[in-house]
Amino acid sequence: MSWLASLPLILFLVVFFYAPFAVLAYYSVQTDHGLGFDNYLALVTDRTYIMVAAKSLLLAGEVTVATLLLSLPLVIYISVHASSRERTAILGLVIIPFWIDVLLRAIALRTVLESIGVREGYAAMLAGMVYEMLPLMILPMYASSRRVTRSIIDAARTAGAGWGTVVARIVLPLLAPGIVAGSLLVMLMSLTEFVIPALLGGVSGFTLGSLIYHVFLSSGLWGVGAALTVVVVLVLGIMSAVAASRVGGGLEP
Amino acid sequence: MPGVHAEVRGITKRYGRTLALDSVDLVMQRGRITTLLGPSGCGKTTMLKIIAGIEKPDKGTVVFDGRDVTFLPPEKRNIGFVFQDLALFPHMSVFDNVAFGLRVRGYSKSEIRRRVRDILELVGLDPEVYGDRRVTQLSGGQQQRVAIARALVFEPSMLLLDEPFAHLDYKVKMRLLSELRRIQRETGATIVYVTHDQEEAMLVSHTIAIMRAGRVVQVGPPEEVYERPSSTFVASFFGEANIIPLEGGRRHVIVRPEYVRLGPPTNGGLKGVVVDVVFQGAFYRVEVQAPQASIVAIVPKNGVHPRPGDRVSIAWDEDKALVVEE
Repeated sequence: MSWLASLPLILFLVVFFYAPFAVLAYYSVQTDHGLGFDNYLALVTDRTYIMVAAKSLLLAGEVTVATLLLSLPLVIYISVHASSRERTAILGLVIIPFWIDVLLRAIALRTVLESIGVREGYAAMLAGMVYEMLPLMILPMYASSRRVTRSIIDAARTAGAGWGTVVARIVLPLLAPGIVAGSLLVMLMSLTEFVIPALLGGVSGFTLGSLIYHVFLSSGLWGVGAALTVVVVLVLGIMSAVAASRVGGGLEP
Repeated sequence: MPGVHAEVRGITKRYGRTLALDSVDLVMQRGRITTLLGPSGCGKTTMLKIIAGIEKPDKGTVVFDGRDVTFLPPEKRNIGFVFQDLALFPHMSVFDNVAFGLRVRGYSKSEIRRRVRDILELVGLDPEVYGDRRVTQLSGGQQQRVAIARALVFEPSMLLLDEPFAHLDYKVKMRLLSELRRIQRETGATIVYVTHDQEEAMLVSHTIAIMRAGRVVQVGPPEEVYERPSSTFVASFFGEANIIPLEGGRRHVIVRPEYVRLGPPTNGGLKGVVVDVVFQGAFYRVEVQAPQASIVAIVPKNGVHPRPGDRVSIAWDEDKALVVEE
């Protein structure tokens, strides 16, 4: 009967997510002449959509790789060296920026970037998104870092492994579930990120998020917008499923 | 070849203001099991980690085979270490856990397979059955065996064990202890064993070093430490002891319970009243309240044993009693 406890959440999701999504899916197959896939056809025949989607994917990929490369040294340090007090302090430092609204942070970052001579554009947008996504990468990795205990590292070293081998064969594999979960989160959030590109991206800031916004609210093309949304959700869903099955039981501590 | 395998001299280690080790000297004989025995917090695990190179001493030297290794990192010391929490690699199979030390040493695939097989058989795990299992699927006793196999597979010059059987139930622990002795006989390894359990220490050791508050207070074979404890602390920590204060209070007589003879109250000497009699299978354990102290006697089953309330005389042979300071 334990599933009953999750009933309120399930009801909430049904009313506010799954039902609206079903309506959206219905819009996406509505055309002037009854039901059909014209809206989906428009997505693949109009080069604008494909271009924007490709650019957004590239941007999300770059953001993911950049946040991963920035986070890894910190999390490896946390795993192999930090005392529990240091861990908590580092976690605090990572989380505190989250207390401030994303819009305010984006505006503040724009001022900071301008003061060092970086105007709005691709570089500013990339920096802004990395800054925004960093905690999403670090938190799941931090959770995994608890699997790397002091004695596991000592066990590897007494067995004859130098620090390089310890990191490659012990630390990184143990962090893998966090790395996968963090990368997935950053990828998903970056793909549809809307605020940062709008504020920092300038002409480069036209991403999938902006596209969906414009299709719905500026152009009023609800059918195409619905189709676009359904495709994005399906792609993200497939990516999540593949990643989850890859890591499998490894996600458990 | 017997002789000194490893030695620590004047090892001192502080953690902040706590003095974990206070100028410790210890010799580990080749092909013998040396046990560090003491209550928790006495510094025995720190000592073991310094021998392994996991911790660095503030003062003192660690010598392996006459060579100063004090500042050699653990991966260059060629020692096997079994951790209290085992520290198996959770993302690897049994085979990969055991093979780890061979892979980092660059052994060939066929050599790795042969050695892992042999060592798993030595520790009593069928390689066919357990090799591919994840370590998280094993019982506590099986995980212990994997940890020992992982530490032994690369033929380390020494095997260090930090309370390896602390979390196991009694029967499994007893079996693994006797298997550890067997493994030691078969491999001729030098072993340093850390425990707070005097029964484990008695079962496994050739030499026992009793530790207290960062110092080694007595070293010797189990028989010697048991028969000739150097202090009341050693006497009461290693085996059961009757400690009877002498006049003045600074000196004590120590008598082991099996040397205490109870007789009729008409005999001369110390007198007391039997408080408790417990049947322990092979013997009776009798507790007697005397004016100076509570005294425990082991009474064999043949013949009559006293009952609670009996008045008895208490005696022992002079050469079985020991007088110590403090």
